[in-house]
Parts: sequence; structure tokens; C-alpha cells
Amino acid sequence: MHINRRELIAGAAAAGAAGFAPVSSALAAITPGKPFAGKEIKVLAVQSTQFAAHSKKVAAFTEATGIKVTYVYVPFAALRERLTAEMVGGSDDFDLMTAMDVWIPPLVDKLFAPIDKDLAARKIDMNRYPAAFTSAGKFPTGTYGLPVRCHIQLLWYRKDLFDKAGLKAPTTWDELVEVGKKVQEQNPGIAGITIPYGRADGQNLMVWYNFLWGAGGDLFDDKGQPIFNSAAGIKATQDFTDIILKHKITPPGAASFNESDSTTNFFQGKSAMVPVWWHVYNRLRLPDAMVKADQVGFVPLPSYPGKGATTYTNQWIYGLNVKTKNRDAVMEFMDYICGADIEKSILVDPAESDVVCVHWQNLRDPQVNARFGDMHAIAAKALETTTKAIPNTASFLPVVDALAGAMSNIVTQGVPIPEALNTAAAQAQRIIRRGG
Amino acid sequence: MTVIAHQASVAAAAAIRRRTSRQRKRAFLRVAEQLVLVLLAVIILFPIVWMVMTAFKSPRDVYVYTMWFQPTLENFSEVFNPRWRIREKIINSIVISVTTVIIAMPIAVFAAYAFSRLAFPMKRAMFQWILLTQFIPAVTIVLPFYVMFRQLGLLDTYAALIIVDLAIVLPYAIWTIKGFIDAIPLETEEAAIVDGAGRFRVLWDIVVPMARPGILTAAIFCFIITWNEFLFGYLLSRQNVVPLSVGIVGFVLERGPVWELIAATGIIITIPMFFFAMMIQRHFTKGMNLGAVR
Amino acid sequence: MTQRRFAAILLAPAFLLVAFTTVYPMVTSLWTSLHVLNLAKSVQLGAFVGLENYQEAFVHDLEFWGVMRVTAVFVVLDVSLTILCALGIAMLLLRAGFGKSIVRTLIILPFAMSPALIGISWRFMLNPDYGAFARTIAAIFPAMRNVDYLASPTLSMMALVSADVWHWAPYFAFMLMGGLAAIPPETQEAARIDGASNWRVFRDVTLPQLAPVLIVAIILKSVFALKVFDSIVTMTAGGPGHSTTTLGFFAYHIGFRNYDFGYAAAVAYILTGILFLLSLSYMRFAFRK
Repeated sequence: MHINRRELIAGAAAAGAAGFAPVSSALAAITPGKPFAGKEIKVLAVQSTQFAAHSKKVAAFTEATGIKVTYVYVPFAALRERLTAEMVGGSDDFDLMTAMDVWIPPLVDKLFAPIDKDLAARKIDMNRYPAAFTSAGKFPTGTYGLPVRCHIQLLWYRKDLFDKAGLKAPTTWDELVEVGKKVQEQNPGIAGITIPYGRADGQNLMVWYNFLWGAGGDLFDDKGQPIFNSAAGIKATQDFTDIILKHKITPPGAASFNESDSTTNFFQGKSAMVPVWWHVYNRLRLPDAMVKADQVGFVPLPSYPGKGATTYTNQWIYGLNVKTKNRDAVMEFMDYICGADIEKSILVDPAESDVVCVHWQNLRDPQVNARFGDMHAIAAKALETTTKAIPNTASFLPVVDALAGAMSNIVTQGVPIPEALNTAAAQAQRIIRRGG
Repeated sequence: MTVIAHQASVAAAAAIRRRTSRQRKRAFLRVAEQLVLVLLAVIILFPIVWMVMTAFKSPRDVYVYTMWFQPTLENFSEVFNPRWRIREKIINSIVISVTTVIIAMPIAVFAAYAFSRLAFPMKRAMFQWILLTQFIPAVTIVLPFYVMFRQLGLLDTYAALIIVDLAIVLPYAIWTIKGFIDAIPLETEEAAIVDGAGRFRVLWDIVVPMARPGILTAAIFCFIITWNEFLFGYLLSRQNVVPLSVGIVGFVLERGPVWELIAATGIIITIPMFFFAMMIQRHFTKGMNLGAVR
Repeated sequence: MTQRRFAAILLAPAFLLVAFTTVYPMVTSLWTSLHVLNLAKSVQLGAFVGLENYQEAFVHDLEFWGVMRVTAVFVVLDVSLTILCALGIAMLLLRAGFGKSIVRTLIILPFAMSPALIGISWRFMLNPDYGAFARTIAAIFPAMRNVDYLASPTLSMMALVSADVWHWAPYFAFMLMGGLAAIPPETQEAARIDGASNWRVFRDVTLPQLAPVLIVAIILKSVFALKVFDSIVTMTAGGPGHSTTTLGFFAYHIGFRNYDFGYAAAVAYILTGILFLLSLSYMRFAFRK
């Protein structure tokens, strides 16, 4: 299958109702009798192929309900500021908004409304999603939004190089270092594994979380105080930073790589493994990809021996604006657009390319798995053992910042691990005290 | 006679020797100067050339360190694909920058003239205060601005961005134009005033034409600053008035930046500024002459 | 019409506009800095806490003094390098000569580029793997192969400074060229006839006469340096660690990333205060003549 490169990159802003393809069962979510006909709702979405695909599903919805839906797209890099601004401004300009996990806690009740009652009325069962995909919207005060765009990390590896050396994809961190060393020795110019160790917005913690949770550590205790500087945290950090500092199996530049630098390095054929989100699958299908799909395999992220993978996930929700005047119409749309059928229809549509899948049903769907080389089934396996996710507190994001700084200091300035983590913990305590 | 001739020839030989050594030194300096010039040109051009090349590279070549590649225009045609809404952003940027400059210039000329020529109480304090406003970090004022514009219903309108941009450029414009007016000899104005010309007449007919290079320099400088303004455009616009400078961010996707499109857009953003900047450069030179005459 | 009234009429539009766009937000910001305003807790202005937010910075925040140091280092490096380069370029290009008009046209190019664009381009070109800067430097100095510029506190600071110098030196070069051209050549010639060396002529004759323009240039550049923001966002994001986090970026981060706007306003006011003090001393110097 040949996909237009630009379709993959661009996503977004695909205006018009070109893809008018009603999916009969998806319309099951729709209340009969068009009770909300004439309402207009506006959606603020991040620029991505997925939401471009969603906007193509609008025509069928409008046909069935009489509700008009408009999508407005904001680039990823500008979305958080936009949401902040919407919250501060107390605006009802957008009825429905997409938001990423760490951004949500401060927005709860101030921008997003709880939707538990609506979920009950509409019989939407949150168990249709893996637990790791629902945590971002779940708060003691209720459920804020439905998961819509979630990513899980997988370990992508160069099957051709591994096969040549008779190596198997690693299942533990020790194995990962071992195979990384071997591949690097055998293939001059190719690093064992690429990992983003650069500070950018905490992207240097993405892989570290898996070490931390695997080692039995956690970020905060039950009282919300930092414990990432515990013995487990120090061991996890040691193992995580050893990969670049001691084993030296990362490519040049890894110490300042952000996620995209790291991924690019792998897809340029300059490293043999990369732990990264499943959405990079599309890069393999680009017509001019340097590393082809048949050269690459993927497995769940490794862990410590005897422990199932506890994989860090990235979650996006569709959240309902507290100020909206069209609550029922918005819920009608959310119910429709978040349905498993819509998701599947996008996943199996040859004209679409997004890999995002949040329903158990679709993760295990044979048709979906046939299209993406069983990636979703493999992801499902990792999701079954994943119980932890990042904490849902408003102070978490500033803590991420302190931690990302500490991690960067360890990797680039040789700051001893306990010292760096203790400093970050002290900073975290201060932030938490201020955050209240 | 011969003695004198001999002495003369010795002196001439010494003079020639001195001259050749001086010439050699001068030649050396000239070569060194040329080398520095070339080095300077390389430093200036290198990043720009690389950006231009990136804009013509296919995605595959973007991540390769090479000067040799199959150039493509695909990035430019992609940038103008309606989904990126670049055309609208170009129009937005033009509207915002042009309006800002058109409003800023008369205001700045008035103020600069007052500061340069007229006596009034607190003059120095007021001038310093206007300059001081430029010392306020943008982060301090962007949130109050946001809330204020929201209350006034001006968010995501040209008006909001123009007001903010005016605040940014006015002090520079006043400062620059004041410098040029300072350099204009007083006599002509005094003569006109003696002849009974009104004050505005003097300002309009005598000062403005003489300060034209300064006004043009200031106008272009302000245009460039407005065109390249990022932070306020980033936070105070939504979808209707997003300026081109912020459009770059649109190419930073969830999975990372798309360098070739950023480079192509960068060229589109920069080329008009390059021509304007060349115009300032000419007027800078005129300004120099003006200063030299004084 | 009295001179005073005429001045009032001429100044009114500028004054009203500047007041509207600075005084109102400044007062609001000052008020905010004396209160709790943590958007993570509430959108409404919280309790009045006096100077607690300032105390937070000076006493409690472990990062604050590091950020102050980074800011000072950046400003000193950036201003001195920009002005030195600008002076060098101005002296070089002032007199006519072969190729100079071409270079004079070329040096305007960097000024035409937006700092955000420069920052993102620098980041692209500093990638040790495919970056044009990194690879070219490595080709000239093989020992620099595999150096990760943005991972080193010193080198990333240098990278940030280099981008800013590249952007601003041309503008200030033109400013100084204007100043140099205004110096009557007779004074320099007189000194030369008296047997002064080129260096002495520059130091004792040219420089003192250039001083007013130079001071104005330094003031302006310091303002730009202390307010630097776009290129940090797009190039280093303040890293590695906090080694390129300057006060302005720090305040932005506390506010727009961490939502602690009360504290962010206080930090921004500390920056404003520094700028204010600096500017006052500069101005006393600049307006003395």
C-alpha cells in the first residue's frame, strides 16, 4: 500500500465533508428524533490525521442529528497555551476540546466539566478502554472526558540487523543493553539504541518512567509527596542513565535529543532500537522511508526480570467545556465520535493512516491487526500488565520540569544521581506546597 | 654638485625603500581585510544557504549532511496547500504590519519633534519613561493583555495585535526619528517661524521632508519588528488573525518539526524582509551622510 | 499657541497609547504579584500575600539564583560580543573598498530573519548527526566530531549567544557606522599627523567621539538581551538542565507552563526591576552630555 507522504505528515485542516461514509452501527449512539437539530458546536482539536479523519465523520452525524459541528485545529506546540487562555478567559467559544494528560489537572472544573451523569445516561462503559487509557480523565470528583487519542510506547528494533546477528528482541533492560552492545559492535555507524535524553518538556522522562515503575518505584507516595529519590528511584535512574553514560550505546547527540530527534535517528537507520510511541508506525510506510517496514519489528517495552511491562502511555481526551450552552448536543457528538465503530472505520480505511486505537475491542480486532502487522495486539498485551500511569495532580507538570532538569544535569553535567534526585524532590515539595 | 646629486639619490632610495615597506604592509593589510570580508560573508550566508537548500530538499535528504541532492519544489507547493492556511497568514501579517506602521509613524514623528525641539516641563523624564516601557518583559504583560482583550471582545482581532505591536514599536520609532530631527539644523525652521508659518506647517513642510530618511528607516525597522513578532501573536490570536511568524509553529507536529516545510516557510517569511532591510541599509547610509554634514 | 500646549498636542497620542498598553498591564501585574494566583487552583485572584511571592524567589526557589546567574552570563556575553562584532564590522565596512558594498548588503540578511526562525534553524543545524554547523565544524576540527552542542551547558549557551549575535550584530554595525561617519575626519587626521598610531587614534580620538552612539547601542542591546525569549523557546527550551534558562523564559515557564501566575508575576517584576535599575544608570550616563 502506498500512502501519500503529505497525507501522513499533514493531517489536520482537511476541510470539507469529503469522506462521507456513514457507518450504520456508529449511528446507534444517536438519539432518535433529532432533538438537538439546529445546534452548532465547535471543536478545538490538535492538528493530526486522527482529528482530520474525525471531521470527515461529521457529515453523517449532521445528517442524522441536525447538529452542525465545526473543527478548529491548533498545532500541537500551541495547544496548551490556547487551552490555558480559554480557561483564563472563561470562554465558551469551543464546546469540545482535546487535551493531553499532563495538561488536564489544572483544567478540571475550570475548563472541563465532569460527565459521569451523561456517561450513565448514555450507558457508556469506561471498561471498554484499557485502564491505562482512562486514568488521565479520572479524578476524585468525576470523569472528565473520554479517551480519544492514546499512545503506548513500543520497542522498535531493526529486525534485519537482529536476524543477521542471531539476536532476539530484548525483554529485560539487561538484555536490551546486551543486544544493544552487540548490534553496535557489528554495525559500525549504527548505535545500539536511541533514547531522548534532552530536557525538552520532560521528554527525557518518557522512557525513565518505565524503569522507575519496573524497579518498583513511583513518583509520589499516597500523601502526594515525592518518592522518586528512593532506593528504587535511584536504581532506576542509574540503569536508565548507564545506557548513555556507561554503556555508550546511544548515538551522538542523544544527550540533547528530544523525542522527534531520537525517532528520526532510528528511521534514518542510525540506531538499531528506539522506544517510542506506536504512531511512528506510519513513518515506515512513507514511500521514501530509509528504513522499510520489513526491516523493523516491535515488541512491548522491556522491564526488570519477572515483572510485566509497565509502560508509560500518552493520553488525550475529548473534554466538555464547563461553559458550553449545548451540553446535550455535545454529548451526542462525543458519544458518536468516540464510539468503537468510528474508530475502527478509520483504522481500516485505506485512505486513512492513523494508528490510534483506544478500545479493547479494536485493539484485539483481527481486521485492524491485519492492517498494522499485529501492532495493536502486541500493544494490548503490554496494556494488560500496565497498571500505573502518571499522577493526576496539578503540581505534576512543574515537578516534571524539575525532574527533567535533574535528569539532564545527570546526563550532561555528571551530577551524582542521588544529589540530582534529592534536589528535584526538594523542588517538588516546594511546588506541591505552593500548589496546595 | 655630484655630492648633492649623490645625497639626493640616497635620499630617494631611502624614500623608495620606506615606500615599498609601507606598500608591503598596506598590501598585507588589504589582503587580511579581504580575508576577513570573505569570512564575514561566509558566516552570514552559511545558515541562510543551508536553510534555502533544506527548503528544496526532499524529506529524505533533509537529514543528510550534503550539498548534493535532487532539488524539489514540492515543499513550496505543500506549504501553500490550503490545509496549512499560509495564504491567510500572509494576508494577516501584511494587514497587521502595514496598519501598525501607518499608525505609528505620524504619532512617532509628532512625539519625536516635541522631544527634539520643544521645551516643556518633565521633558527628560517623559522621554526616559517612554524608553523605559521597552524594558518591560513581554511575559509580564501578556496575561493582563489577554484578559483585557477578552473583556473588550478584541481577542483574535487585528485590533488587538496592532495595539500591542504599536506599543512595541513606538518607543523605537520615537527614538530613531528624534535622532534624525536632532541632526537637522535649526535655522530653516527658525526662519520659517519668523516668516509666520504655523507650527504644524513647519513640522509638515520643513521637518518631515528633512527627516524623511529617518522616518523611512524607523518605518521599515518597525515593519520588520512587527512582521517577526512572535510571542503576542502566539498568545493573542486564535485562527482568524494568526500571523505568518507564528505559522512556523504549525509545522511542529506532535511527532516533531517538519524541517523542510519550516525552511520553505522561513524563506517566504524572510524574503520581503530582506528587501525592506536593504532599503533601510540605503537610508542608513543617507543618515550617515546627514550626520557627517553636521 | 504656547510651546507647552503644542508639545502636549504632539505628545498626547503617543502617551495615551503607551500608557494604555503598558501602565494598565503593569499595574495589573504588580497587583497579581502580591496575590496568590495559581490557575491550577482557581482562575480568580486569590488571597493577598504581600511580598511572599518575592520571598519565594529569593529564599525558597532552588532554581532562582541559578537562573539569575545564567541571565547575567547571557547578557554580558551577548551584549559585549554583539557590540564588539558590530564595531568590527562597522570599522571594516565604513571605508569604501572592493567587495564591501556586497558585504554591506549581505549583512542585513540576518537582521531580516525572525529570532524564532533563527532559533529553530540553529537547533536543526546543531544536530551532531545531520546538522550543518555540527558537521562543518567537525570537518574542520575532527576533535569536535560527536560533540553534542545542546547537551553541554557551556556550548548551548554559546550557541544561544551566537544566534543572537548573528541576528543583531548587523543592525548595530549600521548604527555604529552612522556614528563613525559623523566623526569629523579632521580630528583623526590631526592625531595622525601628530604621529599617533592607528590604535592610539582609535582609542584616543575615535572611541571617545563614538561613545554616545556606543552607549545607546549598549542600552538597546541590553534590553533585547534581557528580553530574549523566542530563540530560547525554539532552540534550547532552557536546557540542558537550566543552563540557558534566563529570567524572562523562567517567568514564562512558571506562568504558562506551571500556572503559578502570582509567582510568575513576581519573577517578571524582579526582571523589570533589574531592567529599571540598569536603564536608569545607563540613562544618567547617556543623557549627561
